[in-house]
Amino acid sequence: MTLYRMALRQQFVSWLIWAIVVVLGVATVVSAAPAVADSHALAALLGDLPASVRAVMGGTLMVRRPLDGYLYIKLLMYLPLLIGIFAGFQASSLLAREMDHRRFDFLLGLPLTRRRLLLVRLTALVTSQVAMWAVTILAVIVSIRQQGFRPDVLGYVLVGYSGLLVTLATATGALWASAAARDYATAARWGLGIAAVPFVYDLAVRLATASPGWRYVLPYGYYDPPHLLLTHAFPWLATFVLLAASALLTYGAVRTFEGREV
Amino acid sequence: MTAAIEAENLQKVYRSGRGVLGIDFEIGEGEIFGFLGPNGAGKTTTIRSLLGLTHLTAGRARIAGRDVVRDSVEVRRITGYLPGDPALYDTMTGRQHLDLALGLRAIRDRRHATAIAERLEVELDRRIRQLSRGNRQKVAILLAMAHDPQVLLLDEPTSGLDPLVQDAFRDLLREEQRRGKTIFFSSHVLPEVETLSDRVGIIRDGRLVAVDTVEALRRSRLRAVQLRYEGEPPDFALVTGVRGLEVQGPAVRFHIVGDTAALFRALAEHPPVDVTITEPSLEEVFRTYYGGRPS
Repeated sequence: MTLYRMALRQQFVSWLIWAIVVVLGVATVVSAAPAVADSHALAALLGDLPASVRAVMGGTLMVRRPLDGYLYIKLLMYLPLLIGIFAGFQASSLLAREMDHRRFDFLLGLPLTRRRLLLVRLTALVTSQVAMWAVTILAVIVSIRQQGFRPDVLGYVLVGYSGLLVTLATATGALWASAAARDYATAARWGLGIAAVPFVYDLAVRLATASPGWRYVLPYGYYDPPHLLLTHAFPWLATFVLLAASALLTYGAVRTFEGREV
Repeated sequence: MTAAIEAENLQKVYRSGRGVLGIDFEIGEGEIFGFLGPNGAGKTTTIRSLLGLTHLTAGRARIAGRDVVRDSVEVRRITGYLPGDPALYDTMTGRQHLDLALGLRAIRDRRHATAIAERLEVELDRRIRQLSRGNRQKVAILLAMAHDPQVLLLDEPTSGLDPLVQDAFRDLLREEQRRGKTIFFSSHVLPEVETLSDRVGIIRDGRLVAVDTVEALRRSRLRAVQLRYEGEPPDFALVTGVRGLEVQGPAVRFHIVGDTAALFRALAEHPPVDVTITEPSLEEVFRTYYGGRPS
């Protein structure tokens, strides 16, 4: 048993439950694909909506590829929120719950720095996030194929990759909160807030279209499935900014954890 | 004797003002040092400070010459630590805990761990949540000793163990001592510390109020005595060693310090109808020896 395997084991049951929920959700949404694939009614409906709402709902994608547009507004738009909440809860439990249960006396009695302990746990969290997105995107692709359509594999892989970057930033933010929180309940509230608030903020900014540039301050601003599906452009900006943000948040979590009583 | 554990003005003060308020001691190699004090006196904080698990407010400590803050990882490599009320992982087995602890220390030879597990009859293959408190404590003891450390820091080690296992554990500690290991253990049970330790430190309200040999402690040993007479009891005030005499009707209560011969002579002259002699509580010890207030 290594520290990494131990951390993975601790996360496995909740990972499995969330993965089942996500896969079932994906399969349910995709099951309606035949009804919408050739329908341009949704696109027509979108045409009557204000431009800002049309943009938020992936109007161009809807017009050019109704099935993918439908999956976007019913599923892809919410995946980073759903998986982000999972990541937020997972991350908040990594430190705060252990401190609540006073389990660190066992682990920190071993020849192990706090930095190493945190980084190993974060690595396990990243592994579970990668696995969660892989399962989700695989479920999307397989479900589309099951319905008799040809999925845009590269487009969906890029969507999954971008979503992973968003949820990694969410997870590291929640990890910092977990290192700083006085107890697990507080850390979990922070984890939930870190996942949900940026999503709501991003949606509000997009709808208001007052200053779209502001959305890039928050992780969801970098997540634009319609653009990825239509262009297949590698999300360099999201990769750079969100990985840098995750690294900074991890550094903050390490410093906070090293400086506090456990 | 070379010092295995040294503390100089060790201070850890929490926001409440409690903690460890500057203590000094030195424990030699191969010594068993009992750290005695009531609950909340600062025993656990001292042990955690010695292991670098808590951030010191002031002072320093060394284990085997290594600074516990600067060389914290190395200190924990050569030290075995048993936390008070150890919280292990419910879904893992004892063996998985052991694999983790030995793996992190890169120890492949498990003979020492196996020998301890057999002596204490540790149930290694059951999940922690399936174990009783005593069996969990045995797993925690094994984890502290499995890597054959030079120094053992044990926080209330016999807590939750049944008397037979307590005996086996004490024998084990004596053997470790004969092999040159240094043992620092805390307790709030006076007789336990007396039977096991070479020297005893007494901590109260975060301050080390005494460090003495067990022999010295025994010489001044305190017992609580309660007597009951049919009529008016005799006066015990002048009997050697009697302290804190209280008389209520036919009942007499007092403490006796050190030699009990004079007391038994007095009892032979004035036999009571009922006698109770008990170990005093720690608070009584503190009141009698150190004139302290009850916490």
